[in-house]
Amino acid sequence: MSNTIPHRIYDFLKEHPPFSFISKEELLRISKQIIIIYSENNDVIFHQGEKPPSFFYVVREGAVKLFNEFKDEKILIDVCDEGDIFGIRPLISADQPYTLTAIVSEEALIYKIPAELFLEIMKVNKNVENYFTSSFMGGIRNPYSKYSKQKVFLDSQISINDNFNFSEIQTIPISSKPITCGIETSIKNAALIMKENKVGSIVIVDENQKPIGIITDRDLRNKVVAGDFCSDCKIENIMSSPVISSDSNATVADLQILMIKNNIHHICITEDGTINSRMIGMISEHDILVLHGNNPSVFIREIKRAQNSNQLNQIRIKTEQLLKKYLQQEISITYITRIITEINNAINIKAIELIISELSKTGNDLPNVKWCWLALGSQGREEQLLRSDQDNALVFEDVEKSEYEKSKNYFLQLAKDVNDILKDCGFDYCPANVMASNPKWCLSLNEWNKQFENWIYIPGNKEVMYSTIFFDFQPIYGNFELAEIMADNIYQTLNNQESFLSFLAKNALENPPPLSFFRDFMVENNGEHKNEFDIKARAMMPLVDGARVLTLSARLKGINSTIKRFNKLAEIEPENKELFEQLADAYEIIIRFRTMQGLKHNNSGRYFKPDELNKMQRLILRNCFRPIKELQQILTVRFNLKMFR
Amino acid sequence: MIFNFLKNKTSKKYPEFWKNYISLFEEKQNYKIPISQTDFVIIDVESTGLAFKKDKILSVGGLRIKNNQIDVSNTFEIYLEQDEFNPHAALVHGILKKSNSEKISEQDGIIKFLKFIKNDIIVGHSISFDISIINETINRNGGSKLLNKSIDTINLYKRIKGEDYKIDSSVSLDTISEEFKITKSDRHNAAGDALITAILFMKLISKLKKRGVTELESLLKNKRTLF
Repeated sequence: MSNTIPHRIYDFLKEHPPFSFISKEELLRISKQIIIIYSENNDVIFHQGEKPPSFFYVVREGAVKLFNEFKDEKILIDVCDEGDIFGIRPLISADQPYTLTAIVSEEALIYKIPAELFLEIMKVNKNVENYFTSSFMGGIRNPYSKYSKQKVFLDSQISINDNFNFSEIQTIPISSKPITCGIETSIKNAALIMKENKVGSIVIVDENQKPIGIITDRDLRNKVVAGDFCSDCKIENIMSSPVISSDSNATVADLQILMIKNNIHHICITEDGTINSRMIGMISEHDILVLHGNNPSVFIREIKRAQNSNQLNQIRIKTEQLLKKYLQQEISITYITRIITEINNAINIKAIELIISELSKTGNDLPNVKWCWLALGSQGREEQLLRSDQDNALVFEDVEKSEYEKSKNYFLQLAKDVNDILKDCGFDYCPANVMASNPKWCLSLNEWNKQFENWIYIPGNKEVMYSTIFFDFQPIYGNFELAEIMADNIYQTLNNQESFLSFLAKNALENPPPLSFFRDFMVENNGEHKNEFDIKARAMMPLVDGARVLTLSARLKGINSTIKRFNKLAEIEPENKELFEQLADAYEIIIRFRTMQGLKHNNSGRYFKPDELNKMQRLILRNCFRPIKELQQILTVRFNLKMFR
Repeated sequence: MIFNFLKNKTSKKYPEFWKNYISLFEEKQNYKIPISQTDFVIIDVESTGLAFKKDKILSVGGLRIKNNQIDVSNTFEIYLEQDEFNPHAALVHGILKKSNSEKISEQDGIIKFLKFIKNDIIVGHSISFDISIINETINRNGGSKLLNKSIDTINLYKRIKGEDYKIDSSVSLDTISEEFKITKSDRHNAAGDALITAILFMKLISKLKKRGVTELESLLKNKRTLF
């Protein structure tokens, strides 16, 4: 009997690793034992949780999507096409259930390959074994977990990684009974209860055990011992009310954010999370500290206490270590960016405060005008992880002509000194001088409004470029109302000049996504980064720019981060929900990837050599690039960009 | 009725292999089964020419499909020794009179073939020619006509395309493969063509399934004939 059909299979397999490492004789032996299956769209090849059979799969034609399913959600992990292997559980451990669900997304021919036969070959063929250990063993076709959205990882219920030790996403065990007292209690008696129970705080509850207020050691010190109230006074006089509460399902991360946002150190845990239900426990910052040492709220406090730029820099260096730890522990990028943004903003605020007091020491007092420090670019979008160049600006209220010069001079001086401190903290000067110390970007409200109007009404290349930087502004310090008015003005101007958005949209198409990334990398042709891949220009900017213009177009105010923008767009455009969610995921993965690269090489992570990546990393990135193309198609249609070409 | 017909046939002096083959049909076939549970044998024949009365089979390729799966370990491919040699046909199928493929006698080939197809539904592209030339060959070797039900992928294709395709009866495998985006290689090699036909068949029944054709009986119902 001849071998036409096995030969044909052999001809295909030999082109794809790891089959390419197998001798012709052995590969033909495998080819003879294959089962070819034909599947239509939406056919399920296997379900998450199913026990794998004794074979794995290779896509011959078409495409198969791998999903992580949790409750009603299906999160796309990977798309396999021609030559890709999937369902390799049986090669690793036939007893373990599949961790993903495989669904055909393009009518497919799939080869089923007997695992046993393959394992025999793997035992003697080092190349094949290495291929699998390096690219698959990490997480069984979920090696993406390293880079993929944290959710995927969390929701799979720890099945993937046993060393699950990051505390931020855990809920805190609420063991101790909360110490409470009634509203009629005197300060002295409350203090005695606290002493008796050796606690630093007490919650005042009503007859139904609902929390109505809290006092802490600090209140006793500041308001009683060094303050206006006697110890026989009613507790009502010194308690903080209402209390900040949360429910028992809140994670450490949630509680930390709550503490940072409200500048408090204690949170009441109540039955339904509101102050209108029974109190069941109390979480203090100390509890959280005990849970894990290096801690962002500690950093925030240290920042607030810092006296000079050197101390701030030390904290920022520690933050970098924390960031590294977070990334290694695969904590959600959304959480990480929130924390790092809070820390960066706190450093900005502290730097401003330090300078204001410095200046006043030399008789240079803060003028009596409203003003606001603005973060721009990635910091403005709340997605700055590594210490990149600083981008900032300053706005002050419109003042009389006579006052203008004096005020501007003061703010320029302030900005220059703040820029210097930030430089000391590792945030380099902006090479394009987009900083508040630049007279061009330290303007009165009226000047800013005119500036934005000019960009919007007469959009040239430079204007569009500035818009992409300045439109992502975020108030950091001072009078936030000014920033609000600026934003309102932008939206109003856009209403009169809708065509400006086409220019922004066109700008978002400047960098086509590197779709051929997988097989042929698109690398820089010349210059310092020759033969390196520019992930910022080729993957991040199309996403950031696309999200911005769509957000502006939909008039979504106050949503600054790219991920949030895509998530919001998914919400308001159900017909494109899947794409926008994919884009949010893609951005998350890319930002994580870039940050990891940056931490590894101690640089911005922007450029890397393609050969440094393993097959998995390439796959992950490739899957991120796919939706970018679709995004650009949407922009082209929506903003009628064909005519621009 | 079928039973009587079989009885008469078996009483004749047929060779053992033929008796074994027709005995498979003694039991009444049930066609009211889902297509997914049906065993299909997809075959392709390469011959010295297209005149089935006088031309000879050079090669037969075959494979089986059940539930949209092809088990490669159970495929079929034979080359037959033939005295006739038609240089024109050789240009098409590439089988030379003295080629490297291991050849077997016509009778051995027929015995192997019948063992492979059993009483399953035969599928092929322009299947009536293949069946005619096989019947001719079986006859020469002491047997009679194939008893299997057969399905022509051309007819399935026409069924999907509708009435317009009724008149033009010669739709080549190449044309359809292109339309259905089936990668072609080893064309005009019996096993290679059988594989292409098998993939085409799977795509066609998947399309018919969407139109409610899910039972074997309704798949066989098609009355349109090729010639």
